[in-house]
Amino acid sequence: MAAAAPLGDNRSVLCFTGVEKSYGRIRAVDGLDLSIDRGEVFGLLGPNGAGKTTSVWMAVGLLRPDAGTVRVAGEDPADAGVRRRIGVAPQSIALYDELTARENLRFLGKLQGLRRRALESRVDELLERVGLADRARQRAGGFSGGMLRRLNLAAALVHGPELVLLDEPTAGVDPQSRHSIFDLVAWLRELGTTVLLTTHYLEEAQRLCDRVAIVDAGRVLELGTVEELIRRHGGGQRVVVDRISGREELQTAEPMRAIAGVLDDPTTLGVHVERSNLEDVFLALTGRSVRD
Amino acid sequence: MRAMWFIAMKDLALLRRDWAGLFFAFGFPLLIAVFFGVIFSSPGESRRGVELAVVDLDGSAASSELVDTLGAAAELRVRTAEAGEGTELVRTSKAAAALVIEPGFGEAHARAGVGEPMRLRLMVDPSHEAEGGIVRGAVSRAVFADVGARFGAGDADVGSGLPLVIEQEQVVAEGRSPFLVTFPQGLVWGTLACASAFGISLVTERRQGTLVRLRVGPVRLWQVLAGKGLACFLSILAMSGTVVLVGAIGFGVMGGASRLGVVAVMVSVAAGFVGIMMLLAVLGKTEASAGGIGWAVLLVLAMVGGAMVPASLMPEWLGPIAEMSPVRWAIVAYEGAMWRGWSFGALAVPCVKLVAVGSVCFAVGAWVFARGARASL
Repeated sequence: MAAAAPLGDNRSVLCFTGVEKSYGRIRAVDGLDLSIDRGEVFGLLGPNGAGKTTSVWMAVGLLRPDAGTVRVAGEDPADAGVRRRIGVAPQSIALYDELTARENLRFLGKLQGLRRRALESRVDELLERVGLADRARQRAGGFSGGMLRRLNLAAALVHGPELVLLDEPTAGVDPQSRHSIFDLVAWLRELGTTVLLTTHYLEEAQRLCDRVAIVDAGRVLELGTVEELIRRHGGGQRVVVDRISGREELQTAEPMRAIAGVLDDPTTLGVHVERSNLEDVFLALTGRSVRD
Repeated sequence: MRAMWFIAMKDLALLRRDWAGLFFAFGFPLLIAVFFGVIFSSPGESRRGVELAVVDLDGSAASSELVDTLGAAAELRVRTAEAGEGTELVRTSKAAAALVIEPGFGEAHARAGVGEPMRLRLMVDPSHEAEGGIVRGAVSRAVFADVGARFGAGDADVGSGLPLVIEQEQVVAEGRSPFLVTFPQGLVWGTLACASAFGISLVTERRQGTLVRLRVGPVRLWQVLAGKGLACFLSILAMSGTVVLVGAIGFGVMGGASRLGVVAVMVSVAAGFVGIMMLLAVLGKTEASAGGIGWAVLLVLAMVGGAMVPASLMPEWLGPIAEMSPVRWAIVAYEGAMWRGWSFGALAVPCVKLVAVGSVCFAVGAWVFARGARASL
């Protein structure tokens, strides 16, 4: 495959400016402003119905915003030339059941302009990466949910895109497949690929993303690195005390002082400190859990 | 037992929510039954009648009377033709059959049942055997009514021997087989099957999400549809080529056929039905309903087009509609190229109609499909 020119010279690879999108009377995206830098893994974090998938379809040019603009390296993603540089793994599995794993990837690679040896070596590499090399000749229709999810992801990467959009990549998968997908995202980061990952699994965003945007009802509530968000909204650390009567959590900026205060209590069975996480941030911002 | 019941109820609930499936399970059979029942059972309705060319080589009063009697028959539409013209009218499909009243008919009529019988020659289009039977019935009725009346009146010249012989022959060149009729029909039914599979695959592509996968690539929606249409087109050509090849090698159906003409018809039929199925496929939400709609519409086109019921049995008003059936165009075009000896000019008429209708249907279907694809995101 011929080396593709980088997606423009801008630092920002994907940019949403004042984007709005409605389905009838339902406002899916409401004034989205977002800029994703080259080479970063960016998490779009929010509950179901927050507008994450709609944002992905707009980023790849399949949906037109009602207002505002979406640009990929300064260009319209509806343009076929721009779209060639983007890889998308849709939330629902989009593969041909009757084709084998290899045939699925080969077909999609050919559509993207890959030919012969470059295509075969890319397909081999990806099947190895997602742990399906030994299943390459089996039909996708016989795969487990996790295997399908991994193949779905490989299909998004077959043409070596510079911007990868992963829509809920780990939804409903087994732990083994989950780790395989995490490894794949880490590999993309090493390659310098820009990744937009939508998820409602907070620990996933915490582990994989350089920056996250917390979205709810189509709006960005907060944006920054995970550390920044926890510092701003997480409320410090938490002392968890296990007593005979049950578990108690103490939110505090001085955990050592809080621990000293409970150690003398004869009903205390144990005590440990937990750092605040994105769940706490989401709770603080919206007043509810991300899984509500 | 309870589990079986629950599963049955669940499946019925699924059927209830698939409106197209529900219609084809309950509405369509009723519609077909009522529609065709009305068509075939209205007593006062004038039928189209069997197109019959009559060549009177005898020129006697008896032969003229026979022509007049046949002309008055409700099931026939009689036209007179010159000697040698009857065969051509049948071959070019302008008449379903031709009746030749041989010289000597008048003499034989005068002494019916004594000596030589009255001789008639009936030339039938092999694709209209049913109409041939109707003509034989009408002719026999006319002759025997006359002879019976004379016998009853004590006419001394009437004997008890066989008064009438109708020699029937098919209007095909010597050495041609009856498969000439069945192969064009088989080709058209095969085309409908391929086209239906194409329509269903379009719905599958949309339903299982792979359409979105294709669209996020550097591929336009029209390219996706054109690619799928091309696959259908090629599969119809492959099917047609195989059927024609088997017919040529095993059944002699290409004996005197215009090979270029047959290829032109194959291409036109494939193009026409790809377009028609494109339009029908967008009407179904599920594979089952898309398949049901496709087959139902094509079945009606086949029935109205005379592929299943002789057109002569249909009412007068259905005539112009029958002429508009692409199934009819396809069968006529195949027959024209394979054994009717049509010129390229004559073949061009059904071929151009098929391609034109297919193009319009494809364009409209693609437009509706594109709207649906955008709305389904």
